[in-house]
Amino acid sequence: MTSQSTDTPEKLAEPSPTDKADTRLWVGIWGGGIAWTVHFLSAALIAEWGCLTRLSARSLWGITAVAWSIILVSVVMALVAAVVTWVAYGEVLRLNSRSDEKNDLYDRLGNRRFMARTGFAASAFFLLIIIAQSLPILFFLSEC
Amino acid sequence: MASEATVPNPSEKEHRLRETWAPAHGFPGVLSEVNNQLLGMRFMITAFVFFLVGGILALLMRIQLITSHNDFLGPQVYNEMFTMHGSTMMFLFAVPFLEGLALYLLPMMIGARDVAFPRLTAYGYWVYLFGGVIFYTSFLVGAVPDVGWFGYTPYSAAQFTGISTDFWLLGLSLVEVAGLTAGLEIVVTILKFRAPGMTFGRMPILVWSFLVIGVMILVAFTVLLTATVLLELDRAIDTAFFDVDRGGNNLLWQHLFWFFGHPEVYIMFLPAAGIISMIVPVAARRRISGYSLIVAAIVLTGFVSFGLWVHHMFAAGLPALSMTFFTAASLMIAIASGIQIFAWIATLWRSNPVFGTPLLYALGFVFLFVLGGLTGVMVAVVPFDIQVHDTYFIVAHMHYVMIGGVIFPVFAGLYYWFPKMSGRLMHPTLGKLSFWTNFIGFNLTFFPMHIMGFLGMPRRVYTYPRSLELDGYNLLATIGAFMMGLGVLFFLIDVIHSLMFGEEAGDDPWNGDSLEWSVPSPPPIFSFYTFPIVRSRHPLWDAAGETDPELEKLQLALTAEPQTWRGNLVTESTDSRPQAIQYLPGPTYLPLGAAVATSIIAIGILTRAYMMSGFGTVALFIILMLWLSPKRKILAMLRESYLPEQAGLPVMTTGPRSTIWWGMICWLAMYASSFAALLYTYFYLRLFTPQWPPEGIPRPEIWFASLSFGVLIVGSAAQCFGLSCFRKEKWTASRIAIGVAIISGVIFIAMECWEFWRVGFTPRTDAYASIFFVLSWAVMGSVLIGVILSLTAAWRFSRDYQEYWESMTLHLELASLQWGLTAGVGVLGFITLYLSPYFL
Repeated sequence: MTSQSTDTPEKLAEPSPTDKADTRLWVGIWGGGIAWTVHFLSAALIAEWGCLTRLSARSLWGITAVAWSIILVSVVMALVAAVVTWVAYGEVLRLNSRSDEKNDLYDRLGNRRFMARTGFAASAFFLLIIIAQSLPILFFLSEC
Repeated sequence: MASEATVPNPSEKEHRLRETWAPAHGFPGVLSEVNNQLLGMRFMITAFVFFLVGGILALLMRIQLITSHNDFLGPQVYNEMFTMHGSTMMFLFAVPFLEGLALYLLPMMIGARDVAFPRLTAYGYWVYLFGGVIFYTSFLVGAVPDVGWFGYTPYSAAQFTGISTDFWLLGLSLVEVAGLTAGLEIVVTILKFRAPGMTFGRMPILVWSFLVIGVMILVAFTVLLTATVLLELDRAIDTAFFDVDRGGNNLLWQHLFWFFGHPEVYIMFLPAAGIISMIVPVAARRRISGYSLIVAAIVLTGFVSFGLWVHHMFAAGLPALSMTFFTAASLMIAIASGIQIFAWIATLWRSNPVFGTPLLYALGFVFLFVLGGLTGVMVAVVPFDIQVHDTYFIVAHMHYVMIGGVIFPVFAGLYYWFPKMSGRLMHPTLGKLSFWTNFIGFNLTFFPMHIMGFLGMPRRVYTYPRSLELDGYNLLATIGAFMMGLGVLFFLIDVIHSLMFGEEAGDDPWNGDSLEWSVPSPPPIFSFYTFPIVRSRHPLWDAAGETDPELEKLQLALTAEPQTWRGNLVTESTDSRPQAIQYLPGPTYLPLGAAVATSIIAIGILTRAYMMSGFGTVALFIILMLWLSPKRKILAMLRESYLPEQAGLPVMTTGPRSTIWWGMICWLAMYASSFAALLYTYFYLRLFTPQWPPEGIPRPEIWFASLSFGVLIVGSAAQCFGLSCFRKEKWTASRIAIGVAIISGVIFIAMECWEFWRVGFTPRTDAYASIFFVLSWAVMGSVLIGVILSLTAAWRFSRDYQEYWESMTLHLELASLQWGLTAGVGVLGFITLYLSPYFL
C-alpha cells in the first residue's frame, strides 16, 4: 500500500494566481495602516531629531524646517490614506453591485465583501487618525 | 490502497484515533505531553495560581496603607511587594492566562484538532513555569526585585541594585520567550488550520482578536526581550547602554520598555473584548451587530497601540511637539474601543438576554472599562497628565482598565467555557455572589483612588502623612480589596463545588453559535472526529445550506483519519480551501529538555557562572538539532501513507502550504523587530551624543566592512540560487551554491571577528562601542543561523534528498528565508555602522 505525492517540485512551489481585484482588496486592508505607520514614524523621528538639531533653527516664512517637514509628510500620507480609502470604497461599491453572482461554499463574494467593508472602515479610520496627528503641528510652526 | 476487506469499521477507526491521541500516562506523561488542551489548561491553572499570589501581595500592600504612618511593611519590603505584584499580574498572569485560553480554545473554535506546533507549545509552558519559579526564588534567597514592574534605569543598573534585578530580568526573559512561542503558535494556527469554509469573514471575533495579538506579541515582546538583554549586558559585562557617564541614556530604557508596555495592555484587552464579543450575542440570542466594524476596530487597535507609548513618559521632559503626536493617537484609539462597546450595546438593544453569570461579568466589564477609558482620555492630555502623573489617579485609571477591562472578561470567559472544559455547570447563585462581591469590592477599592490622586497621594509610597487626610479613603480601598478577595474565593468555591457536584452541562448549555459548542463537554482530546465544514459566521445557528460534494467526499475520507499518527487539515490562509494534511508530533521530552537548557543559560547568567550558561547553550543546540531534524522514520511513514490518494491532499508540503514555512516567517518578523530595536538604540544614542563616534574612537573604516558585507550578500544570493536550482532538479548546481553560501557565511564571521580585534575598543568603552558590538553580533547571529541551516541542508544532500525532496525543498526554503533576512539586516547594519557616521 503505497502512495506518492504526484506533484513535481515546481508545481508545488508555484504561487496561486491573484487578480487585480484581490490586490485592490489587500490595498484597502493594509494601505491605511501602512500610511499611518509611515506618517507616525516619520513625524516622530523628525520631531525628535529635528528639535534637537540645527533643523529647528532653519525656517521659511517663519515656519521651522521641522514643521515644514512634518507638514509635507502629513499631506503626502493623508493623500495616500485618502486614495486607499477611495480604492477600498470603490471595492465596496463594486462588490455590492454583484448581486447576480451565485455564491459557493467558500463564499468568495461574501468574503470579498467583508474584506472590502473592513478595509474601507480601517482605511477611513487611519485617515482620520493621520489628520488628527497632523493637527498639532499647526501649533508648533515657529518652535518645537 | 487497502482493499475493502481490510478497511476498519467506523468504531474501530475511532478507537485507533483515540489511541493515537491518547496522552501518555502518569508522571512521564505530564513531562512529555504536547496536546493543546492539556497544555492550555496547565497555562491557565498556573497563571491563575500566580494571580492568587499577586492578589495576596496586593492585600498586603492594602493592609500597610489602611492607615497613615503604618508599620506593617517597611519601605524596602513595600517596594518589593509592588514590584512583584505588578510583575506577577502583568507578566505571569494576564498574558499567559489568555495564551492558555487561546491554546485550549482556538483549535476547537476553528475546527482543528490541535495547534500547529505542539512541541513548541510544550516548550513555551515549561519556560514560562521555570521563569516564574526563578522570579519567586528571589524570595527564598532574600533578593526580591524592588525596581517596579517597569525596571527604570538608572535605579535598575548594577551600581544601585544587586542580584534582585537580575532575578527580575532573567525570570522576565524566560516568560517573554514563552510569550513569543505562544504568539507564533496562535498566528500560524489561525492562518493555516481553520476548517474549510471558515473564511476571514466567518471567523469568530475572538479568533480575530487572537490573530491580531499574536502578531502584536511577535513585535512587542521581541523589543522588550531586546531591552532586557541590553540591560543585563550593562549589569553583567559593563556595557554602557544606560550609563550616562559613558554616553548611555536612561530615557532609552523607557522608550524601549513602553514600546512594549503599551501594546502589552492591548494584547491583554483585545482578547478580553473578544471574549465579550462571544458571550454577548449568545446571551442576547442575536447575531453581533457591526461585525466588520469590530474587526476593523481590532485591526486599528493593533496598529495604533504601537504609536502611544510616549504617553507613559509625558513627565520625562520630551519635546512638546513629540508629545502631541502621542496625545492625538491616545485620544483617537478610544474610537476603536468605542466601536466595540457600541456594537455590544446594539446587540443587546431590544433583545431578551439571558442574565447568567457570564453576561453579568460582561456588563460589569463594559461599565468599568468605559470609566477607565474616560480617565484614559483625560490622562492622554499632557497638562492633565503632568498634574496626576505618579499619583493614585493613575493607579485608579490603570486598574479600571486592567481589572475592569481584562479580569472581568476573564471571569466572564471562565464562567462561559467552564461547562465546556469540565462537562459541569457552575452554580448560578455562587456565580452571582462572586460577581457582585467583585464588582462592589472593585469600585470600593479603586474609585476613591481617583480622589486620592487629586488630593495629592503619590503612588509607590509605603505610607502617607496624616495631614493629607486620606485615611478614610485608604480604609475604604482596603475594605474593597478584601471584598474582591472574597469574590475570588467565591469563584474558587464555585469551581470546586461544580467539579464535585455540578449538574452535567451537555454539549451546548448556552445555545452557543461557534464550533466549540459542537463537540462533547468535556471535549475529546482530539476535539473533532472529523473536520467540520463551515458555511456561515454562526455555524451552530444557521441551517446547513448547500453542500459541496467534493468537500463532503474529503470530509468522509478524513473521518477519524489519520488513524496511526496525529494529523490535521491544512487550509489556505484567506479562504480556507483544503491544501494538505499536516503531521503533528506526539509526546516527547524534547520541549522539556530545551526548556531546562534555556533555564540553565538564564541561571548561569544570574549567578555569573558563565560556564553553566555555555553548557546550557550547547545542550540547547543539540536538543534543537534533534527537534528540528525530520526523522526518516516519519518521512517514510508519510511517504507510504494512503491519505494522499484517499483524500487527494499531500502529506508533505513546501512553501506557503506548509505551517513550518509560516513559522519561519514569524521567526523572521521577531528577528527583524529585535534588529529594529537595536537600530533605534543606535540612532537614539547618536541623537544625544555631541560627537559620534565619541572622542578617542575613529570613524569606522568602510573598505574592510564593504568586503565582509559583500561576502554576506554573496552568501545570501548563493543560498537562494541553490534553492532555485534544486526546484529545477539541477542537483550539482544546487550543491555548489549551498557550499558557496556556507563558505561565505564562515568568511563573514571570521572577518567580523577580525574587525572586532582591529577596532581598538571593546563593548565596555562607551555607549557607541556597546551598540557597535551588539548590532554587529545581531548580524553575525543571523549569518550563523543561515550557515547552520545551509550546513544541515548540505548534509541531507548527501543522504536522501531525492526520496524526500519535499522535505529537502522546505529545508532549503527555510534556509533561503533566513539568508534573505540576513541580507536585509546586513545592508541595514552596514549603512548604520559604517556609513551613517559620515553623513549624520
